[in-house]
Amino acid sequence: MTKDNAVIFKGGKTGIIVILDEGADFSHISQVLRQKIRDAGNFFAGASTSITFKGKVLSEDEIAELIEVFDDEAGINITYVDDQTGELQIEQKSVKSAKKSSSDEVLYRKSNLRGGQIITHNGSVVILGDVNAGAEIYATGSVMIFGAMRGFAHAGTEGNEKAIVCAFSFQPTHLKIASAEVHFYEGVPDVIKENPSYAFLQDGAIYVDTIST
Amino acid sequence: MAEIIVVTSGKGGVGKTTTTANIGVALAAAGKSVVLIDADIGLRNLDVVMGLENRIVYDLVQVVEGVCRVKQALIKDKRYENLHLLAAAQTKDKGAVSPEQMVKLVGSLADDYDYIVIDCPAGIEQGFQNAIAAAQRAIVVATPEVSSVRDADRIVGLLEAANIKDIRLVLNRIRPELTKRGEMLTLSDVTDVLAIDVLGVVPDDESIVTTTNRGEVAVAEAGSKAGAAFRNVAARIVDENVAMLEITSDEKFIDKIRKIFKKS
Repeated sequence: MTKDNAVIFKGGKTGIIVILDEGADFSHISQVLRQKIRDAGNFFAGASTSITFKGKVLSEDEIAELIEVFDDEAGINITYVDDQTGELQIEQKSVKSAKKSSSDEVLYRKSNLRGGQIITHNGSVVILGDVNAGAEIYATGSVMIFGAMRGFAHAGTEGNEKAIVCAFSFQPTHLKIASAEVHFYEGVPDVIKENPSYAFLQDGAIYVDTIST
Repeated sequence: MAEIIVVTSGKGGVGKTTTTANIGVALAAAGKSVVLIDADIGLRNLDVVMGLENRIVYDLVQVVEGVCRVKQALIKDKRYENLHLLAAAQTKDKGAVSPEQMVKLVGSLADDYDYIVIDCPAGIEQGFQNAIAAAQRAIVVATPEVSSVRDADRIVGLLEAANIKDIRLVLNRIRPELTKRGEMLTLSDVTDVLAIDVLGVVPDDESIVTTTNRGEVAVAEAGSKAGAAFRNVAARIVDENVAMLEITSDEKFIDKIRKIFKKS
């Protein structure tokens, strides 16, 4: 681990607080931040959080650069940036809207995903087969299953609220789309189980419906 | 060259060892030369089920450690000359053998037999990895219970990951009268989830308990229903064109009469 104190992470109520050393120069801070996120490994992966910068006064461009570092190294989805070094507050979307595109590839898998098997993918996932109980899929995009869905899926892991989960036979145990979550403790209704169906996010809640025209 | 088959399940107590013993005896009865390997080191059972526990001199771990030659450790079956058992060690644990050593051991027997059947321990840890290391084919034993099917699914995933492509199901302890009433998973419920070929279906048969305790195997008993099912399984191992044995419930004569009256 990096022992440098130019950058210190703290967990806050609303997200991560990044405390920057006032005395350190910006390029050093940027470098240390990159290294620290790398060292953290998968700790941040797929997380969706707000970030607060404290300590050193930063320019708008400098904040944008640090957010880039988070995005590059951790695949983290920053929902809000609160710059308490100055009075600056920036909506993250305006900071980096040009980013994202290369990661939206579709992963195809032509076999069953069995209990204990996990797929994590940047983009959408298409399974030509069944997803059995105990299997897990994490995708930043949508999850489409040409078969039975009996396991767990998290679509839109980085906050994409347009992501869906669909399957020919829809009987998951538990689903997540962006930050919403639903459990099917009693199983899904037969009409959903027996017809091609999909789950989508609307007004912060997950809905399941049959695919019909 | 022998065909090397591992009998596995994930979950314990579903009938791996009974299946191994019965398939072994049935293959031997059909004239094949067979060696059964008990890979459940530390919890050996296959010798008891085969009724050979008093004849063990050397075990699998001693062969691997070079204490004896593999031929010295093979125990000849009391029923068939062409059937041998390599017993597990009772005093060691799974870590006493590595997958590479298993591959070498099984390889040293492959030239002399038609079939090598490996009885896998329950679980997915080292014992499982040892047991599947040398296998070309796998028989997954499951019972019609959700927990057993869940574990079998995990096992199939691990077998596929280990590049074992020929994976077939033996559904054990079927109770036709319960499946008919919808109170037990049916064969198609199980294959819907597992999506693997079915090698055979074995009925729940109380006589298995008594034959097993006596060190006899069901396939050797003429009247045993489970025995007939295992003979069919063995026949389908040798020739996959053999038809699968259907299992029907013993409907009592009086029930049939009642049904006729209900219909009218």
